[in-house]
Amino acid sequence: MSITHNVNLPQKPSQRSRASRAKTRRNRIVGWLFLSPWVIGFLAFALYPFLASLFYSFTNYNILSPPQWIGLQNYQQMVQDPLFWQSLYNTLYYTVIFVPASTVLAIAIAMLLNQRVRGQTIYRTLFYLPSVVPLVASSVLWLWLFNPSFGFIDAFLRALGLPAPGWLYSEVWVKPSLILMSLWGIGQPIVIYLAGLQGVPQELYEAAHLEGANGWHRTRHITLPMISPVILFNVVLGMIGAFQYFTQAYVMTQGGPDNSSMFFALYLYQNAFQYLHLGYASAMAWLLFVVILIATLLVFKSSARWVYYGNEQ
Amino acid sequence: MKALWTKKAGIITATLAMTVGIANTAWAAEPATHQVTRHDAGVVQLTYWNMWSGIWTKVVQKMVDAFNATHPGIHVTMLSVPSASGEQKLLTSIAAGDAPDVFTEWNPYVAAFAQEHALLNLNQFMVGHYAGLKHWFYPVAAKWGTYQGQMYGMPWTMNTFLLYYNKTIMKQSGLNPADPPRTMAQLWADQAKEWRISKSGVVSQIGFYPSNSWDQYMPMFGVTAQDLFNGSKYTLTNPKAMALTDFMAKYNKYPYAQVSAFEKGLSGALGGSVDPFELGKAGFYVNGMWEIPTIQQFNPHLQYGAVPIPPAPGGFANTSWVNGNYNEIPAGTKHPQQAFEFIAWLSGYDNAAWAAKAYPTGGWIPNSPVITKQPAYQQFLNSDPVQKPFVSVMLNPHDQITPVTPVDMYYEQKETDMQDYVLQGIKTPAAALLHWEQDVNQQLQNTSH
Repeated sequence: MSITHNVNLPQKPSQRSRASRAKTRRNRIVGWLFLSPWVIGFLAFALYPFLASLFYSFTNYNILSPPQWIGLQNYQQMVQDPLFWQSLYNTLYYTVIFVPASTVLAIAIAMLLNQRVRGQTIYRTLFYLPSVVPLVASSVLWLWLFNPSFGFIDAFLRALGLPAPGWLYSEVWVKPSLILMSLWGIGQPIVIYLAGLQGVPQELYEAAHLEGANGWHRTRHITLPMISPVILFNVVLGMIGAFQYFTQAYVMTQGGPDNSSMFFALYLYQNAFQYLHLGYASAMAWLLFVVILIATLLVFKSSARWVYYGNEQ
Repeated sequence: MKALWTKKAGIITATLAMTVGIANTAWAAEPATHQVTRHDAGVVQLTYWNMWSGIWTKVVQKMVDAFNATHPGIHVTMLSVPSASGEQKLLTSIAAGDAPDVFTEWNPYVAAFAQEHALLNLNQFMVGHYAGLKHWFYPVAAKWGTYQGQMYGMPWTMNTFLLYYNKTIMKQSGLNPADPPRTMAQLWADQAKEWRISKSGVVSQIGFYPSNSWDQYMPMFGVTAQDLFNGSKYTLTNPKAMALTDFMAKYNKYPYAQVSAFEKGLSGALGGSVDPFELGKAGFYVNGMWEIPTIQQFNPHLQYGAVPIPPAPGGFANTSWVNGNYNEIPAGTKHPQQAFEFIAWLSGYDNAAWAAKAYPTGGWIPNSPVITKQPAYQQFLNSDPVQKPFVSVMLNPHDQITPVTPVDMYYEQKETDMQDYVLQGIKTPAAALLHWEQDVNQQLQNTSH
């Protein structure tokens, strides 16, 4: 908005240009002032720690003494650390199973919740509720459910005459247990898929129905392509979250039994704050960043083949 | 003009809102502490951190209040920090140059912090009036807070570990409750009669299961800290340590997952501070003296006793592995002398009579025989005969601690892994010990300067 009073008075071209630049400069200053809280916060609490951790990854640093430059030793040590590889394997196991499973399940549930049935609102609420339960509280709850002696799940399985696994206390079952628990909390992607489904034009379904397409055909050739951008979004976010899986393992298993639930982020945390190896932990953090970056780029690259943005010919 | 005024008003409003927001955040971030502040000129203000919570916070706060009441020149403000992140908070505060004046530690970080000069050497203060502190403590108590011959953690309250036995379960299993196990062989035989496991593998009663720390059995097998660490590296694959681990390996005949689930499930049911023995679901259990008040709270009708953990051949009788709560003074404190005065007072030096009355409120064992001999503490011991052996073992010269090294925390973490391997039969005792030894020695090498 102009702040001059003499806008209607004739001006020379150089005067108009100077006034215009002054106005632009003022607007820019005002804009930066309003942005400054976020910028300061980003610089202080995101960018600076981000770059500082890169520096620390090349040092021997235990927070009590100044960091000592050791070059690539931390990265070399990672390669020789068996627990590093175990934690990476555990994290990949979780990611490779959880992300596809949660995607399929969330889409399926969203499609069910998209049906016009009585009690639709109640069903939607029930499926979303687990995702608003705090992680620590839900971890304690699932500790109970999974308990082979007192838990509901094994009691139910035994009542049916089925074998009751050791769940969190078994090397074989601990990761599937945590995956199951995570699948219980997929309310957020369900809601996002639901929104995506409601954006699919009904005319497409009508036309397909007229052409004789059955439910599977409509799902395969209309629903899934039309919500493919939403799928991409959720897959990327789900993958990033899965690679950083931490809270549940920290609360429920502490990496046990026998490091079978020692996830990458948990091992990183132990190195940083229990063993005081912040340099090594920083190197692990940067490796995780690179792994997530590569995985995300691969997903984006693949998206050209399966994501439909609606305006393509 | 109106537009200019509106824009300026917007900028001023935004700036004010930001300022108020930041101020509110800073105010809200102030820890909620029990504040009995005195800001008189000349009164030294000390900040004291510990990791207690719940009822323990109140017990310790009373002790702090007693100090404040008797030391007009010093005022201590206590802050309880979460135990899961206490050391991290301490570390970051030391790095930031804003550490508390005193910190109570119960995890094995003394050597790690001392190596990095993050703690003050307390020996420098043990002169003049405080020279007697060098000989005040039980010998084993002083060892845990000592690194390379210098004290960095002053012993405050101690823990010893005995074998609790459930008299009712012993009777039900055909055992004589007046004859609790006196040897490891007898323990093995007796506990075998007490297990209750259904056909589907569900555990409903435990005989005995060595799920607590491997270290706690060190004296029973004659294992000393010097056996485990020779001054420069860990030597865990020695015959005595092997014998101890072989003893643990015998218990892999019991289903590890189900037993772990049983123990942790019971604990989780009641807020994490209850174990199967307290609920009458275990025949024999190794634990500290704090078990007694918990039994009184949750199961006052439990018929039980406690004896020193029985020795194995070559081991020592009537002994215990010892740990406890230690008070440290972080480097950088502005009032080291007053901080030392505070922790010396807490340790009972100069006021053993007070300590003899105060320590029982926490169910704690004294750090010094001087306090134990006080009438008030003797009265406490006589009030329940189960308590006496917890204290009498403190005099045994064969009491042990874990070796004090800068990688103690890592050692303990890997000790848990080693126990898991052995109790599940995944590794032989020899292989498990070797793995553990190599692991901690590598860590020691990575940490050395």
